Amino acid sequence: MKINFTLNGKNCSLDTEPGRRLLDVLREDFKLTSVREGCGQGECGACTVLIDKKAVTSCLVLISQVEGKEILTVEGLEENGELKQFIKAFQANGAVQCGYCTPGMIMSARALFYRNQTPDRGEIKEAIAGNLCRCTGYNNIIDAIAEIAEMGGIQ
Amino acid sequence: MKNLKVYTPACILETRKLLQKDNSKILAGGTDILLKRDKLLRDELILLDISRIEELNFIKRKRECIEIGAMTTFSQLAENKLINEYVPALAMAGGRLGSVQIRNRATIGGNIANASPAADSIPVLLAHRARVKLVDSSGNMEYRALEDVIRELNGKTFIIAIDLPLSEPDRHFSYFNKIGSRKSVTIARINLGSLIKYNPENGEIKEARIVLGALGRVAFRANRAEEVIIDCTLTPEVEERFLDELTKTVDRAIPGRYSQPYKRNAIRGLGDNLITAFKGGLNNE
Repeated sequence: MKINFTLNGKNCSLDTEPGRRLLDVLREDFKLTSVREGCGQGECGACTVLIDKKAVTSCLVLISQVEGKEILTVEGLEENGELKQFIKAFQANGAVQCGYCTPGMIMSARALFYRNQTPDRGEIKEAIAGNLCRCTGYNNIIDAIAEIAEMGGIQ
Repeated sequence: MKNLKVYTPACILETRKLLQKDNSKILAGGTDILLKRDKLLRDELILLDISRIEELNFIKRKRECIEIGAMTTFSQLAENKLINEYVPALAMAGGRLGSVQIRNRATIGGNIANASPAADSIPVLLAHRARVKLVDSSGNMEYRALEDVIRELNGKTFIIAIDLPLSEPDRHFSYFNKIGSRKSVTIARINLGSLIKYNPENGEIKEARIVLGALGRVAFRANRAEEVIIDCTLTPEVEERFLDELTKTVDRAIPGRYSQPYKRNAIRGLGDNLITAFKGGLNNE
């Protein structure tokens, strides 16, 4: 089945089995390895991407369901220059240890900034509630996102 | 990895025809059904991806009701102005279901059809006298009260919309709450949906619909607890009897279950929160 969508700003037309997970298509066909599988159950958030600016767990999305949609991953943030702000804030606040959860955290944060450029800590916590981290204890991640919020959000 | 077989029907009628195949099931948001991927593959089931049927995603006010398309997501419900004004309990339930990622995909139709005992929308919908618009095997559409079909729901049920009678916000209290193992991203251990009609002049309760979930296979009304507060204003004595009756409701629902000692006390917290929120709402008027 041919499925048409926009991926990181570029139009794509993919002929593939409609029952494949979006997670697998992004990793295997497009080599977007920022999108990770942690649980395959939609609980850990490591596979978080944006569909039409909204955070979703790509392990629970089939490729047939993204017809006509806009998908954004960390690689797309790198290409459009927005990743720099996240890297700076995450480094400054010690928000990365093993790094496995980090792309998912960044995409959840990016989705939050699309809705609200100056979220408070409560809103940040809610935005990343679906992203698990085994390393940092979360506070550093919240601090990093709060730092971006204090500077007015994603520029 | 072996792949699921998926069809992408373009309209309701095409979906209904495809549902007549024994091994087909509806794929709405996917947040419940795709967790059973291994079983779907083993049973060689065909998924009918209805995400392209635009007429299934809407929220609109009709004269006497609000109608919600089955593919409306919980994020959309939580943020919608009409829902927050007329059915705030559904916005509350929507805003507390799963995580942001799940709420952006999970649909109200899928939540109903999946019929989990802990489904968060069902107590709210039952309390608010919801009807579901179903498509039968011949393609005929009919409205049925959710409380009449709640025990018949399965993977072949094709819900296309839900409607809720309008309740005037100035004399109706619409409420949802749940208790889980943590504050967020949690499956309900008990959930509660409620619609209370009251006299705005003196706070006297005229009608009460209190529906409890995650206390059995299907959500149910706590009739005896409702009776305690009808034709009453809430005094400390009435409130205590109400909470006692909620405890007895749990005892009747899950006698001997390992969770009974916990839930018979936890329900009092939910009941207390309901009372506090109701009184807070009265004070704000």
